[in-house]
Amino acid sequence: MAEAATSASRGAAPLLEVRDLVKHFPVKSSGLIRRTVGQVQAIDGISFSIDPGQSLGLVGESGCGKSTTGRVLMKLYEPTRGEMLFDGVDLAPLSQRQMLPHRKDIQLIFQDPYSSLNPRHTVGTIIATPLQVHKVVPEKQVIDRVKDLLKLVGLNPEHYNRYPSEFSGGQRQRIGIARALALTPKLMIADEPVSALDVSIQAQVINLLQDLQREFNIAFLFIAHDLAIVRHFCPEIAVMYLGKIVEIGDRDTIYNRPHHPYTQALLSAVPDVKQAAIGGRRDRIRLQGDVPSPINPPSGCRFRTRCWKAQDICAAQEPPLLQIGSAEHQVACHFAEPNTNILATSA
Amino acid sequence: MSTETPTTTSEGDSVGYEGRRRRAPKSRPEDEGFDASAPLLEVRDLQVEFRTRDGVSRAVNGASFSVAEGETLGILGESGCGKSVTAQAIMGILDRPPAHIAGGRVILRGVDLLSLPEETRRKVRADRIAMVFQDALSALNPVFSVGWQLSELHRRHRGYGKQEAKKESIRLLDLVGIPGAADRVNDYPHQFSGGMRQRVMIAMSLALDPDVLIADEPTTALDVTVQAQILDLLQELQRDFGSAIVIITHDLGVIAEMADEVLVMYAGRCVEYGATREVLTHPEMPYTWGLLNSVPELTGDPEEALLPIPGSPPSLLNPPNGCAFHPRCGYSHLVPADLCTRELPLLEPSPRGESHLKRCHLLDPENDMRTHEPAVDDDVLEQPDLLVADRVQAPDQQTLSTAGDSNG
Repeated sequence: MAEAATSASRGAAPLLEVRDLVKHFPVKSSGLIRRTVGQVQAIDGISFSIDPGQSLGLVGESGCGKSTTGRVLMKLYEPTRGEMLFDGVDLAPLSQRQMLPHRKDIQLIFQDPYSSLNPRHTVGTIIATPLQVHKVVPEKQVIDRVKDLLKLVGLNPEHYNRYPSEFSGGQRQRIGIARALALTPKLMIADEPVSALDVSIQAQVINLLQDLQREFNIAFLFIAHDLAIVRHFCPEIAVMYLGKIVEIGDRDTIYNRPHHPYTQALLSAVPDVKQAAIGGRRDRIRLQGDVPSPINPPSGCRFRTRCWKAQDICAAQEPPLLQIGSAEHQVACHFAEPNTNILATSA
Repeated sequence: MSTETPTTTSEGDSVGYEGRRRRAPKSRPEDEGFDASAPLLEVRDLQVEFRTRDGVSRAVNGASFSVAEGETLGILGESGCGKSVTAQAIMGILDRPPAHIAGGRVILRGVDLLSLPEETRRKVRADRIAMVFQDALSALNPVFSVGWQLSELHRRHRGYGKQEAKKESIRLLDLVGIPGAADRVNDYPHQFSGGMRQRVMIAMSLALDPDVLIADEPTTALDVTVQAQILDLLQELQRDFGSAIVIITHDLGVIAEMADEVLVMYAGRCVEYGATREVLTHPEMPYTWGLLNSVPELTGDPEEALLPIPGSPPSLLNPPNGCAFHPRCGYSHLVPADLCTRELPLLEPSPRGESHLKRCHLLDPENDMRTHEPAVDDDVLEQPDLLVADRVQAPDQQTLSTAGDSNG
């Protein structure tokens, strides 16, 4: 595993490069002739890259397009436009058949450990299916491989004959992780992998994912709404709002010097246990209203309807995602400026 | 009905900010028995069982706490710890059977609610105790407009006329910050966003100016920015109305921001109880300590490994002997003579003081946890368990919403 880790050093070609990815869902009229009357602009031109063995966190509120991004990368949805270069191959134009050999390199971990496992299949069948479909091990060795995988995720290998209902939520999530791990993927897309779990279990699963990442040099696209967990897991973070990336950068910049008003508002809304417990109060940026509809997003900057800095230019002109300071840090705002006091508290 | 028109009728006319001031004490038709000078809400040794095919599951096993006017009590725990069942028992909306109240008392202003006939309890609900549910979409009735659902409360409990009740509904929607309340009063629940629906539900719970508001995971389904709005709103309304809030959550952050006092529950029992600041900074029970260590923070070293609590919460059908937390506890080896596995510790004052209660055999848990590394048997992780929490679910939200007051 040591060789794999060194080849993943920064500067090597990215494992995944997404360029200007767009996914629109048509909105059909009711009636016999179902004309397209609009587009849900779920993702509207996002670009990012992930290096081998690295993690990128994708954060944002519900409806911002973060889960859609994960599903488009899996080709569960066909992208409307854009490129998705995985190991140098553009996945976007591939048919489902052409996609098959690439599938084993990209695996998905789901949010809900209850609905993502077939209740009528044993754990062994669930984990063995990807092995059999992709014929990665001879049929006779499948059971042994399944046992190895169960052991790897911290479950008793002798329990392969049991059904998902016999396991608790955290254990089921481990089964889902074993299934994703079966094909030793290069990229795992983890869509809210711990948000359905109890607090005491979340840390177990996070630690497991980190151990696996280190051991097998797996890159992660980590989709979550919990900003503290994303900070813990991902050295790089992209913040999405209504189908666009509004700020992307390294952990330190995003959390300690956020430039985009939305990033600042998002961070200021997170309750801080230890600070609040000792009576510390953070100045909260109160956002007005809700996220607008992605069918008819605001002109110019999409955040302007809730932004306290908005001027006329924000409605007229869409701010491009521009590099600020270090090469890794990009912000899409006409009035971007760092705020270093977001996480500061006053007693 | 009209003979019992309450004294607050004239206030129904004042729409907007003025309507926010504390209303004059009400004379209610069912006032007999309630003593305004008695403590607001006291729960004593509450026990709730679920009688299932597989046996008796003790969902709540002796919960005791109290909450006073203007105070917020947080009940913290994971799924299946009995926190929601406690709330439903106080509200009187448990599905019985399978639930069965096996003992204890819920005393509101000197009256034991559990001894009241169903007819009287129905009047107490919404009027004196109201509840905010987690999932507003399923707690609200999809086939009636929010205005209709809000005004029903006034029509049934206060005998208002249609016009009067509608005016009151608009005032309430305005109070909870719904823009254009007068235009939206005829909208249906699905026409509101998640955050706005939660506001509608808060409006409904406040409709009759209750003394106690029980909020069961009120922000769990919401995004952080909306969660912040809703928590602010609850605090603001509490300041204005002086009601007591019992907030039930698994989220330490919500507890830290909202609660004056916190009750930590594990496997149906209260394991720690005290002032929030005190409990979160000086936990005296390994479970609370474990919870605090397993959540990442927004400040501090991001690379620092999380310290999870191993294993999963126990089955309530067949809970461990002794302390229910002992199989997952990293400190039980510090207790002599296997006491943790044999004997249930009492909920008793901790070394930190009389008002900080802990259920742990360690004499000075905080000190022991700071000075010792946790040690847990690795086998804990591998045990497959039949989680009762998974199967004997508390009655779901849908049945609760109709059991609430809107259908009287």
